[in-house]
Amino acid sequence: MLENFITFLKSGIGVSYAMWQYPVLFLPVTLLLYQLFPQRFRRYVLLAASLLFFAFFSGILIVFPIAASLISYAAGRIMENIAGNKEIKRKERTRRRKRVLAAGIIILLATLAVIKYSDFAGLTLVRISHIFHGNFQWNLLDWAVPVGISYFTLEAIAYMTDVFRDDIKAEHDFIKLLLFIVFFPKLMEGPISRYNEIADDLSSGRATTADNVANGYQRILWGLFKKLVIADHLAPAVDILFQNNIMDGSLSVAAAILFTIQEYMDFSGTIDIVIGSGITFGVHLTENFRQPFFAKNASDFWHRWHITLGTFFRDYIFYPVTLAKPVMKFTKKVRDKFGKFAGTIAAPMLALFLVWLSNGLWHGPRWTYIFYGMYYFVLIELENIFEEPFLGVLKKLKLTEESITVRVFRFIKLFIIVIIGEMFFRADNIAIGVKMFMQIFTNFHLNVLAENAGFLGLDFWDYWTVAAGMLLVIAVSVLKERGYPIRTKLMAYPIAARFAFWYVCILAVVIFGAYGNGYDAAGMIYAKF
Amino acid sequence: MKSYFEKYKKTVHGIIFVGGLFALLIILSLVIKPKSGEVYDINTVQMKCEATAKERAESIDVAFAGNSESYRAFSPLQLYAQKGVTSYNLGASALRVCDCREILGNFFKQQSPKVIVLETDTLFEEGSPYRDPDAHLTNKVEKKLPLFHYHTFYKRWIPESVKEKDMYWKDASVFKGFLAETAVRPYEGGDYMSVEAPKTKIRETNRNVLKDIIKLCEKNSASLVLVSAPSATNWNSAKHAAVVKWLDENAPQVAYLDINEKLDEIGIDWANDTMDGGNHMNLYGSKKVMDYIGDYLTENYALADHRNDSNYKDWEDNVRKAGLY
Repeated sequence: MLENFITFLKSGIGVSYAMWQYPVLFLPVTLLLYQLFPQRFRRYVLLAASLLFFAFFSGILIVFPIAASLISYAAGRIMENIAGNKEIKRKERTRRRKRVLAAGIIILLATLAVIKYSDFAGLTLVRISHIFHGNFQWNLLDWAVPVGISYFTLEAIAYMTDVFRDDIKAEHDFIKLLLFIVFFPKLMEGPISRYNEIADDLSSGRATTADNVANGYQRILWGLFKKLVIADHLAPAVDILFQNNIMDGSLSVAAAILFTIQEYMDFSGTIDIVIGSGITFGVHLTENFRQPFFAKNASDFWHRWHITLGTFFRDYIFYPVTLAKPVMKFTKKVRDKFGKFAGTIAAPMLALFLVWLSNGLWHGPRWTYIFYGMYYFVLIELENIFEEPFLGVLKKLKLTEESITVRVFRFIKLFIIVIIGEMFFRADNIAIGVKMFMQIFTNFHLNVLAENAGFLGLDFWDYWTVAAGMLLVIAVSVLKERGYPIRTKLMAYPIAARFAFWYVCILAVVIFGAYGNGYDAAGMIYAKF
Repeated sequence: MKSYFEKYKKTVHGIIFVGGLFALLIILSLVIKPKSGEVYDINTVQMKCEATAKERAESIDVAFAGNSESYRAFSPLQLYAQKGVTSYNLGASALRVCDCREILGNFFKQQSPKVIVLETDTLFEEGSPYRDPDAHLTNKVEKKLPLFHYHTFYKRWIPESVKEKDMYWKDASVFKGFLAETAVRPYEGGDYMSVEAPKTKIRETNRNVLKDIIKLCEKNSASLVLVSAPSATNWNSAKHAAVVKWLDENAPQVAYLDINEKLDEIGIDWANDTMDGGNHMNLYGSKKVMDYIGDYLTENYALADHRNDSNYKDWEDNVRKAGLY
């Protein structure tokens, strides 16, 4: 009977964030239990829900986030003990704390590397061996990958580093740290949170409020709209286009654009669901997107897209490398020899290289991801080099950065940069990505796209649904970029009007969502990282 | 009292909101739920029903049902051109057997076919009206709130200019549901029927639906014939054995033809007769299949030859228009 119950639960409580069971069953039940329990037990409700959520996906691999929490906890306490030991000289204390931090980071990264990258490394060595006529062989290990490992590993590293830097105190309460690591809304796709941002709220056990629940669910609804109505409609078309990537340049362009839209809607939609879930408990997770297509350039784009990944790399790779003594010495030499401008370019180059290499590798064990990282490294360096001359040209043309011509130019340039990057990101391998890219210039026929439009898995209504959905998202993005207080304005309407509005929004998702019969499940793109 | 209400006003509003939402979902479910039984792909089912409704009542003597194996192999125009027998192909891509049942049930309301030919590949696809029959909770919810099951109901309403391009609509009045394909992509594998395939059986859902189809045919005085169209990549000896076993145990009166065992007899050439590497017949393969099926049907069932019948002049015109037979 127990086995039947568990099978029933598993079949019913799916659960990914975009499946109905999450906002209709799992989240409300967790909220209800959270609210019913006394304040001092509420964090245990969150912890139990988080561990159960994790277990549904990865079962016994739950030991990984628990182990990551234990390692972080132990490292934090040891560093704290060392820091408090006044019998040791200050320099020695710092040296020992550094060793503890290094050990913690190495253990976590080594675990991640072995589980996610060992087969990639092995197969790469096989290829290299073959190039040199060697005979190296590799038996695939095919490790089971715990869900969210790329996210909670970075969070654990950030925690230990923040303790080392004395930005936060070492946590004495293991449950609090464990809850931070495994908190279920952010488990699968982030955002990559900092301990001091949410740990207190998570553990406080503060009662939730009707406002929190309402605001949270409104955000969840917006996320479901982006994911189910837009992203999941595009999924079959993207699959078909990338499977038939060698047909024509027009299809390459279509593939690149549609995948970019799909990925943005899928990832940002899921983050909306995640943040909305946090809001229902009164926990404010960090925003991960800020209208990225309004960015001025590629660098600004990455301040608006997957923000928490960017800030992690900034705080834990870019700044430490840039401010390292050898790098600062090198920068000074370059500046002295080649001038201030050269110094400005040289200073962040190594750090940027490491950041973008890490960015590529973080996405997974594929050369296309590493290429993606290097693509942005080169582009951002080029932007840094040409930004000043570009501003000079604007001045000569009597244009400002705010003029329409410049903004349109920047948008088009950014759009092209982003979609080409995404094309390589999604391609099966670099060779196919290059072929798709070259076809844009050597084999482009718009009529081929027109002829194939009916064979992309999208029917008449799907095209209109996606178009209408995109217009709505663009409109909301424009309002948010201008700081327009959408929710505040909505709240000014009478309650009946607000009810009607939200009923229409919910029905839009229910009716136009790409789920159920006739639609294959489009898994969350960023959950596989 | 007032401050108590003020304290819980938002919670009360929330409860009213959720209650109102459920009421709305229930009302909409009642409105859009089809009058027919549970189907999987309601839009395809409705498209086929609308297409067949255009046929003159009581004019079709044979119906072919099933998935894409059916509409690629069984040509009503060829059957008419060679034997004068009128027929219609009710097949659709990946059509589940529960949807076959629905389309047949609707077809019987306007037509009295004497023979129903059911292509067997559909028996080995998922036959339930639900995308995942093991998702018990989701299916329960969809049963109670059919809006979630049939939420794509709006897709029935499309402009005529778009409908005309739909593969089940375009030329349906000429080709009667058959889709002709002249592309050739050879099958290069070996004798797939002599290879030992893992034992299989027809799923329980499909068996139950098949029983319903048998009863439906009996009720409407139609003979049911199961036919396995040639498919090197979809069919095998295990599936053949599963069909034979089930029929022997449950419906020995139902005839079964496995054309995969008669490939030499009818002259199927895998280098030329398949459009997609052995999955489906192309036009050349379907001609050979229909030669055989046409002979079988006219030898075993009393089917009228409507050639030279002025009431069936439109069929003559269609055969001429198609220019294939």
